[in-house]
Amino acid sequence: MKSSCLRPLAALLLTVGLAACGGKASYDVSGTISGLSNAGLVLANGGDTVSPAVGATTFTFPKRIDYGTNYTITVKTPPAHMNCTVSGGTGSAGLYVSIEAFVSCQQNTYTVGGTITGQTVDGLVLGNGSTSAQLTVAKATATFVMPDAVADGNSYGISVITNPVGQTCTVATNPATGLSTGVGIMGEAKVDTVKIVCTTP
Amino acid sequence: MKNVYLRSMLAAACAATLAACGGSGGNMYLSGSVIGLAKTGLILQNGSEDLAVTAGASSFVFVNLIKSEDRYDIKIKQQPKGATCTMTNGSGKANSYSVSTAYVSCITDTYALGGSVTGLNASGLTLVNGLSGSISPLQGATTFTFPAVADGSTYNISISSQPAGLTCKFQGSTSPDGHDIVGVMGSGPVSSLALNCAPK
Repeated sequence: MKSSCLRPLAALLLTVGLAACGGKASYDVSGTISGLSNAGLVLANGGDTVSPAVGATTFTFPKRIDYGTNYTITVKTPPAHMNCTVSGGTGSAGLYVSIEAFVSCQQNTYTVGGTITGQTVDGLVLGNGSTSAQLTVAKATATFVMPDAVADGNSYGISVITNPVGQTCTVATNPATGLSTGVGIMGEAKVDTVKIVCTTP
Repeated sequence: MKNVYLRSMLAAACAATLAACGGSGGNMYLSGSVIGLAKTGLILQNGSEDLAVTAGASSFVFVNLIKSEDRYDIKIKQQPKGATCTMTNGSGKANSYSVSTAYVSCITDTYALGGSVTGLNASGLTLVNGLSGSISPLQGATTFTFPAVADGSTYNISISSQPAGLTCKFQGSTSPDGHDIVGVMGSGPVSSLALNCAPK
Protein backbone atom coordinates (compact mmCIF):
# COMPACT_ATOMS: atom_id res chain seq x y z
CA MET A 1 0.00 0.00 0.00
CA LYS A 2 2.67 2.38 1.05
CA SER A 3 4.84 1.64 -1.92
CA SER A 4 1.95 1.97 -4.43
CA CYS A 5 1.26 5.48 -3.14
CA LEU A 6 4.87 6.54 -3.20
CA ARG A 7 5.50 5.50 -6.76
CA PRO A 8 2.98 7.80 -8.48
CA LEU A 9 4.07 10.63 -6.22
CA ALA A 10 7.65 10.16 -7.23
CA ALA A 11 6.64 10.05 -10.87
CA LEU A 12 4.65 13.25 -10.49
CA LEU A 13 7.54 15.03 -8.80
CA LEU A 14 9.84 13.89 -11.55
CA THR A 15 7.51 15.24 -14.23
CA VAL A 16 7.20 18.61 -12.52
CA GLY A 17 10.93 18.75 -12.05
CA LEU A 18 11.60 17.93 -15.68
CA ALA A 19 9.11 20.48 -16.87
CA ALA A 20 10.94 23.15 -14.92
CA CYS A 21 14.27 21.97 -16.27
CA GLY A 22 13.05 21.70 -19.85
CA GLY A 23 12.78 25.47 -20.08
CA LYS A 24 9.09 25.57 -20.94
CA ALA A 25 9.23 29.26 -20.14
CA SER A 26 6.47 31.52 -21.42
CA TYR A 27 6.78 35.03 -22.77
CA ASP A 28 4.61 38.14 -22.89
CA VAL A 29 3.94 39.31 -26.45
CA SER A 30 4.39 43.02 -25.87
CA GLY A 31 5.82 46.26 -27.17
CA THR A 32 5.74 50.03 -27.24
CA ILE A 33 3.51 52.44 -29.16
CA SER A 34 4.10 55.98 -30.32
CA GLY A 35 1.66 58.54 -31.65
CA LEU A 36 -1.59 56.77 -30.82
CA SER A 37 -3.90 59.77 -30.65
CA ASN A 38 -7.11 58.25 -32.02
CA ALA A 39 -9.28 55.36 -30.86
CA GLY A 40 -9.81 52.07 -32.67
CA LEU A 41 -6.42 50.37 -32.89
CA VAL A 42 -6.59 46.58 -32.74
CA LEU A 43 -3.37 44.56 -32.85
CA ALA A 44 -3.39 40.84 -33.56
CA ASN A 45 -1.02 37.98 -32.92
CA GLY A 46 -2.67 35.08 -34.70
CA GLY A 47 -6.10 34.82 -33.09
CA ASP A 48 -5.12 36.82 -30.04
CA THR A 49 -5.98 40.53 -30.10
CA VAL A 50 -5.35 43.58 -27.96
CA SER A 51 -6.94 47.04 -28.20
CA PRO A 52 -4.62 49.71 -26.77
CA ALA A 53 -6.42 52.83 -25.55
CA VAL A 54 -5.83 56.32 -26.94
CA GLY A 55 -2.53 57.63 -25.60
CA ALA A 56 -1.21 54.17 -24.69
CA THR A 57 2.54 53.83 -24.96
CA THR A 58 2.76 50.08 -24.34
CA PHE A 59 0.73 46.97 -25.10
CA THR A 60 0.72 43.35 -23.99
CA PHE A 61 -1.37 40.60 -25.54
CA PRO A 62 -3.62 38.66 -23.13
CA LYS A 63 -2.01 35.30 -23.98
CA ARG A 64 1.57 34.48 -23.13
CA ILE A 65 3.41 32.21 -25.57
CA ASP A 66 5.85 29.37 -24.91
CA TYR A 67 9.54 29.34 -25.71
CA GLY A 68 10.06 28.66 -29.40
CA THR A 69 6.58 29.72 -30.44
CA ASN A 70 6.50 32.03 -33.45
CA TYR A 71 4.68 35.33 -33.17
CA THR A 72 3.53 37.78 -35.83
CA ILE A 73 2.09 41.05 -34.60
CA THR A 74 -0.07 42.80 -37.17
CA VAL A 75 -2.39 45.80 -37.28
CA LYS A 76 -5.82 44.21 -37.53
CA THR A 77 -7.68 47.55 -37.44
CA PRO A 78 -5.96 50.94 -37.67
CA PRO A 79 -7.13 53.79 -35.42
CA ALA A 80 -9.57 56.27 -36.95
CA HIS A 81 -7.79 58.67 -39.32
CA MET A 82 -4.43 56.99 -38.68
CA ASN A 83 -2.02 54.49 -40.10
CA CYS A 84 0.17 52.33 -37.85
CA THR A 85 3.22 50.27 -38.74
CA VAL A 86 4.80 47.48 -36.70
CA SER A 87 8.53 46.88 -36.53
CA GLY A 88 10.14 43.95 -34.75
CA GLY A 89 6.75 42.27 -34.75
CA THR A 90 7.78 38.81 -35.91
CA GLY A 91 10.06 36.24 -34.38
CA SER A 92 10.36 33.25 -32.14
CA ALA A 93 9.79 33.55 -28.41
CA GLY A 94 13.03 33.25 -26.47
CA LEU A 95 15.31 34.54 -29.21
CA TYR A 96 15.54 37.73 -27.14
CA VAL A 97 15.09 38.13 -23.40
CA SER A 98 11.68 39.70 -24.00
CA ILE A 99 9.42 40.41 -26.98
CA GLU A 100 9.54 44.14 -27.67
CA ALA A 101 7.78 45.17 -30.87
CA PHE A 102 7.38 48.82 -31.83
CA VAL A 103 4.15 50.25 -33.21
CA SER A 104 4.32 53.72 -34.74
CA CYS A 105 1.12 55.58 -35.64
CA GLN A 106 0.72 58.66 -37.81
CA GLN A 107 -2.28 60.73 -38.76
CA ASN A 108 -3.29 60.09 -42.37
CA THR A 109 -2.41 62.92 -44.70
CA TYR A 110 -3.96 63.91 -47.99
CA THR A 111 -2.97 66.41 -50.64
CA VAL A 112 -4.73 69.67 -51.35
CA GLY A 113 -4.91 71.11 -54.84
CA GLY A 114 -7.25 72.19 -57.57
CA THR A 115 -7.55 73.88 -60.91
CA ILE A 116 -6.08 76.97 -62.52
CA THR A 117 -7.65 78.85 -65.38
CA GLY A 118 -6.39 81.73 -67.46
CA GLN A 119 -2.72 81.70 -66.45
CA THR A 120 -0.77 82.79 -69.51
CA VAL A 121 2.47 83.89 -67.81
CA ASP A 122 4.90 81.95 -65.59
CA GLY A 123 5.49 82.91 -62.01
CA LEU A 124 2.31 82.22 -60.05
CA VAL A 125 3.23 81.28 -56.47
CA LEU A 126 0.71 79.65 -54.14
CA GLY A 127 1.18 79.34 -50.37
CA ASN A 128 -0.39 77.44 -47.52
CA GLY A 129 0.84 79.16 -44.37
CA SER A 130 4.21 80.07 -42.91
CA THR A 131 5.62 76.62 -42.29
CA SER A 132 4.85 74.68 -45.46
CA ALA A 133 6.38 74.73 -48.90
CA GLN A 134 5.12 77.11 -51.55
CA LEU A 135 4.29 76.04 -55.07
CA THR A 136 5.46 77.89 -58.17
CA VAL A 137 3.20 77.20 -61.11
CA ALA A 138 4.18 77.45 -64.77
CA LYS A 139 1.81 79.04 -67.27
CA ALA A 140 -0.99 77.01 -68.79
CA THR A 141 -1.02 74.52 -65.94
CA ALA A 142 -4.51 73.10 -65.57
CA THR A 143 -4.26 71.43 -62.18
CA PHE A 144 -1.99 71.77 -59.17
CA VAL A 145 -1.20 69.90 -55.97
CA MET A 146 0.48 71.65 -53.04
CA PRO A 147 3.80 70.00 -52.06
CA ASP A 148 2.98 69.42 -48.39
CA ALA A 149 0.15 67.05 -47.59
CA VAL A 150 -2.34 68.00 -44.88
CA ALA A 151 -3.10 65.77 -41.90
CA ASP A 152 -6.68 64.59 -41.53
CA GLY A 153 -8.47 67.09 -39.30
CA ASN A 154 -6.04 69.97 -39.91
CA SER A 155 -7.00 73.31 -41.41
CA TYR A 156 -5.51 74.57 -44.63
CA GLY A 157 -5.70 77.88 -46.44
CA ILE A 158 -4.35 78.41 -49.93
CA SER A 159 -3.60 81.95 -51.11
CA VAL A 160 -1.93 83.57 -54.07
CA ILE A 161 1.45 84.73 -52.76
CA THR A 162 2.82 86.14 -56.02
CA ASN A 163 0.97 86.94 -59.22
CA PRO A 164 2.39 86.23 -62.67
CA VAL A 165 3.74 89.47 -64.13
CA GLY A 166 0.89 91.39 -65.74
CA GLN A 167 -1.80 89.06 -64.45
CA THR A 168 -4.00 88.96 -61.38
CA CYS A 169 -4.83 85.56 -59.93
CA THR A 170 -7.31 85.00 -57.14
CA VAL A 171 -8.66 82.07 -55.22
CA ALA A 172 -12.31 81.85 -56.23
CA THR A 173 -15.13 82.06 -53.72
CA ASN A 174 -17.35 79.06 -53.21
CA PRO A 175 -20.84 80.46 -53.91
CA ALA A 176 -22.44 77.85 -51.67
CA THR A 177 -20.54 78.86 -48.53
CA GLY A 178 -19.38 82.38 -49.32
CA LEU A 179 -15.92 81.21 -48.27
CA SER A 180 -12.80 80.90 -50.34
CA THR A 181 -12.42 77.59 -52.18
CA GLY A 182 -8.85 77.65 -50.78
CA VAL A 183 -9.83 77.09 -47.16
CA GLY A 184 -11.14 74.08 -45.29
CA ILE A 185 -10.48 71.30 -42.87
CA MET A 186 -8.93 68.17 -44.32
CA GLY A 187 -11.20 65.12 -44.32
CA GLU A 188 -10.50 61.53 -45.31
CA ALA A 189 -9.74 62.19 -48.97
CA LYS A 190 -7.62 64.52 -51.05
CA VAL A 191 -8.97 67.97 -51.83
CA ASP A 192 -8.89 69.00 -55.50
CA THR A 193 -11.50 71.73 -55.45
CA VAL A 194 -9.38 74.85 -54.94
CA LYS A 195 -10.09 77.16 -57.88
CA ILE A 196 -7.52 79.70 -59.04
CA VAL A 197 -8.70 82.18 -61.64
CA CYS A 198 -6.19 84.37 -63.46
CA THR A 199 -7.12 87.38 -65.52
CA THR A 200 -5.15 89.74 -67.70
CA PRO A 201 -6.35 93.30 -67.28
CA MET B 1 51.94 32.33 -17.44
CA LYS B 2 54.40 35.16 -17.07
CA ASN B 3 55.02 35.02 -20.77
CA VAL B 4 51.34 35.57 -21.57
CA TYR B 5 51.22 38.50 -19.18
CA LEU B 6 54.26 40.10 -20.74
CA ARG B 7 52.92 39.59 -24.21
CA SER B 8 49.63 41.30 -23.50
CA MET B 9 51.48 44.16 -21.82
CA LEU B 10 53.58 44.53 -24.92
CA ALA B 11 50.52 44.40 -27.19
CA ALA B 12 48.77 47.06 -25.15
CA ALA B 13 51.81 49.31 -25.19
CA CYS B 14 52.14 48.78 -28.92
CA ALA B 15 48.50 49.68 -29.54
CA ALA B 16 48.78 52.81 -27.42
CA THR B 17 51.90 53.90 -29.29
CA LEU B 18 50.31 53.28 -32.66
CA ALA B 19 47.19 55.21 -31.72
CA ALA B 20 49.26 58.15 -30.58
CA CYS B 21 51.37 57.98 -33.72
CA GLY B 22 48.38 57.76 -36.01
CA GLY B 23 47.21 61.23 -35.07
CA SER B 24 50.46 63.08 -35.01
CA GLY B 25 49.97 64.72 -38.39
CA GLY B 26 46.35 65.56 -37.77
CA ASN B 27 44.39 63.23 -39.99
CA MET B 28 40.78 63.66 -38.97
CA TYR B 29 38.15 66.16 -40.00
CA LEU B 30 36.25 67.81 -37.19
CA SER B 31 32.67 67.83 -38.41
CA GLY B 32 29.07 67.72 -37.32
CA SER B 33 25.42 68.00 -38.32
CA VAL B 34 23.24 71.07 -38.58
CA ILE B 35 19.49 70.94 -38.05
CA GLY B 36 16.95 73.66 -38.81
CA LEU B 37 19.29 76.43 -39.97
CA ALA B 38 17.16 78.72 -42.14
CA LYS B 39 19.01 81.97 -41.49
CA THR B 40 22.39 83.40 -42.41
CA GLY B 41 25.20 84.50 -40.13
CA LEU B 42 26.08 81.44 -38.06
CA ILE B 43 29.79 81.26 -37.22
CA LEU B 44 31.28 78.30 -35.35
CA GLN B 45 34.66 78.37 -33.67
CA ASN B 46 37.11 75.67 -32.63
CA GLY B 47 40.21 77.09 -30.99
CA SER B 48 41.51 79.74 -33.33
CA GLU B 49 39.57 78.58 -36.37
CA ASP B 50 36.28 80.19 -37.39
CA LEU B 51 33.82 78.51 -39.72
CA ALA B 52 30.84 80.24 -41.31
CA VAL B 53 27.84 77.99 -41.89
CA THR B 54 25.38 78.99 -44.60
CA ALA B 55 21.60 78.94 -44.33
CA GLY B 56 20.16 75.57 -45.24
CA ALA B 57 23.38 73.65 -44.47
CA SER B 58 22.90 70.20 -43.01
CA SER B 59 26.51 69.68 -41.92
CA PHE B 60 29.76 71.51 -41.20
CA VAL B 61 33.43 70.52 -41.53
CA PHE B 62 36.33 72.50 -40.10
CA VAL B 63 39.20 72.99 -42.54
CA ASN B 64 42.02 72.32 -40.06
CA LEU B 65 42.62 68.63 -39.41
CA ILE B 66 42.62 67.37 -35.88
CA LYS B 67 44.72 64.56 -34.42
CA SER B 68 43.82 61.77 -32.10
CA GLU B 69 43.69 62.70 -28.41
CA ASP B 70 43.54 66.43 -29.22
CA ARG B 71 40.92 68.30 -27.26
CA TYR B 72 38.35 70.16 -29.31
CA ASP B 73 35.74 72.64 -28.18
CA ILE B 74 33.34 73.87 -30.84
CA LYS B 75 31.54 77.04 -29.81
CA ILE B 76 28.96 79.24 -31.43
CA LYS B 77 30.89 82.43 -32.06
CA GLN B 78 28.01 84.26 -33.73
CA GLN B 79 24.31 83.38 -33.82
CA PRO B 80 22.49 83.67 -37.14
CA LYS B 81 20.35 86.75 -37.59
CA GLY B 82 16.79 85.81 -36.65
CA ALA B 83 17.51 82.37 -35.21
CA THR B 84 18.98 80.79 -32.11
CA CYS B 85 21.31 77.80 -32.36
CA THR B 86 22.58 75.47 -29.65
CA MET B 87 25.58 73.16 -29.79
CA THR B 88 25.47 69.58 -28.53
CA ASN B 89 28.48 67.26 -28.14
CA GLY B 90 30.64 70.22 -29.10
CA SER B 91 33.64 69.37 -26.94
CA GLY B 92 35.71 66.30 -26.20
CA LYS B 93 38.85 64.39 -26.92
CA ALA B 94 39.34 63.53 -30.57
CA ASN B 95 39.03 60.00 -31.82
CA SER B 96 37.64 58.62 -35.05
CA TYR B 97 34.16 58.44 -33.56
CA SER B 98 33.95 61.63 -31.51
CA VAL B 99 35.10 64.03 -34.22
CA SER B 100 31.78 63.77 -36.07
CA THR B 101 29.29 63.63 -33.21
CA ALA B 102 28.72 67.38 -32.68
CA TYR B 103 25.44 68.83 -33.83
CA VAL B 104 24.01 72.29 -34.05
CA SER B 105 20.28 72.67 -33.64
CA CYS B 106 18.73 75.96 -34.76
CA ILE B 107 15.28 77.40 -34.25
CA THR B 108 14.17 80.43 -36.23
CA ASP B 109 12.90 83.22 -33.98
CA THR B 110 9.16 83.68 -34.02
CA TYR B 111 7.02 86.72 -33.35
CA ALA B 112 3.36 87.41 -32.80
CA LEU B 113 1.37 88.33 -35.90
CA GLY B 114 -2.03 89.96 -35.67
CA GLY B 115 -4.03 93.11 -35.71
CA SER B 116 -7.39 94.66 -35.03
CA VAL B 117 -10.87 93.39 -35.76
CA THR B 118 -13.98 95.58 -35.88
CA GLY B 119 -17.67 94.70 -35.77
CA LEU B 120 -17.19 91.20 -34.44
CA ASN B 121 -20.52 90.93 -32.63
CA ALA B 122 -21.18 87.27 -33.44
CA SER B 123 -19.32 84.05 -32.86
CA GLY B 124 -17.91 81.65 -35.40
CA LEU B 125 -14.92 83.45 -36.92
CA THR B 126 -11.89 81.25 -37.61
CA LEU B 127 -8.69 82.43 -39.23
CA VAL B 128 -6.03 80.07 -40.58
CA ASN B 129 -2.44 80.70 -41.51
CA GLY B 130 -2.41 77.83 -43.98
CA LEU B 131 -1.04 74.69 -42.37
CA SER B 132 0.58 76.75 -39.62
CA GLY B 133 -2.37 76.87 -37.30
CA SER B 134 -5.75 78.47 -36.76
CA ILE B 135 -7.29 80.87 -34.26
CA SER B 136 -10.91 81.60 -33.44
CA PRO B 137 -11.35 85.13 -32.08
CA LEU B 138 -14.33 85.29 -29.72
CA GLN B 139 -17.41 87.42 -30.19
CA GLY B 140 -16.59 90.96 -29.08
CA ALA B 141 -12.85 90.58 -29.63
CA THR B 142 -11.10 93.68 -30.93
CA THR B 143 -7.76 92.06 -31.72
CA PHE B 144 -6.49 88.76 -33.07
CA THR B 145 -3.04 87.19 -32.78
CA PHE B 146 -1.16 84.24 -34.20
CA PRO B 147 1.36 83.71 -31.42
CA ALA B 148 4.40 82.44 -33.29
CA VAL B 149 5.27 83.13 -36.92
CA ALA B 150 8.87 82.57 -37.98
CA ASP B 151 11.09 85.51 -38.90
CA GLY B 152 11.25 85.85 -42.67
CA SER B 153 8.48 83.38 -43.47
CA THR B 154 5.62 84.22 -45.80
CA TYR B 155 2.23 84.16 -44.17
CA ASN B 156 -1.19 83.95 -45.78
CA ILE B 157 -4.02 84.33 -43.33
CA SER B 158 -7.42 83.27 -44.62
CA ILE B 159 -10.90 83.37 -43.17
CA SER B 160 -11.88 79.73 -42.95
CA SER B 161 -15.18 80.37 -41.19
CA GLN B 162 -17.24 83.58 -41.13
CA PRO B 163 -19.09 84.67 -37.95
CA ALA B 164 -22.84 83.96 -38.00
CA GLY B 165 -24.62 86.63 -40.05
CA LEU B 166 -21.45 88.60 -40.72
CA THR B 167 -18.94 88.92 -43.52
CA CYS B 168 -15.41 89.86 -42.54
CA LYS B 169 -12.84 91.25 -44.92
CA PHE B 170 -9.16 92.02 -44.55
CA GLN B 171 -8.12 95.57 -45.34
CA GLY B 172 -5.55 95.54 -48.12
CA SER B 173 -6.47 92.07 -49.34
CA THR B 174 -5.70 91.41 -52.97
CA SER B 175 -8.63 89.00 -53.18
CA PRO B 176 -11.87 90.56 -54.44
CA ASP B 177 -13.79 89.04 -51.52
CA GLY B 178 -11.16 90.14 -49.00
CA HIS B 179 -10.85 86.67 -47.51
CA ASP B 180 -7.08 86.63 -47.10
CA ILE B 181 -4.01 88.72 -46.41
CA VAL B 182 -0.49 87.85 -47.53
CA GLY B 183 2.82 89.18 -46.24
CA VAL B 184 6.33 88.42 -45.11
CA MET B 185 7.14 88.30 -41.39
CA GLY B 186 9.83 90.72 -40.31
CA SER B 187 12.19 90.58 -37.33
CA GLY B 188 9.62 91.70 -34.81
CA PRO B 189 5.98 91.39 -33.83
CA VAL B 190 3.31 92.64 -36.23
CA SER B 191 -0.03 94.04 -35.04
CA SER B 192 -0.99 96.13 -38.05
CA LEU B 193 -3.37 93.77 -39.84
CA ALA B 194 -6.99 94.91 -39.95
CA LEU B 195 -10.11 92.83 -40.28
CA ASN B 196 -13.52 94.48 -40.63
CA CYS B 197 -16.75 92.59 -40.07
CA ALA B 198 -20.18 93.79 -41.14
CA PRO B 199 -23.67 92.27 -41.38
CA LYS B 200 -24.25 90.32 -44.57
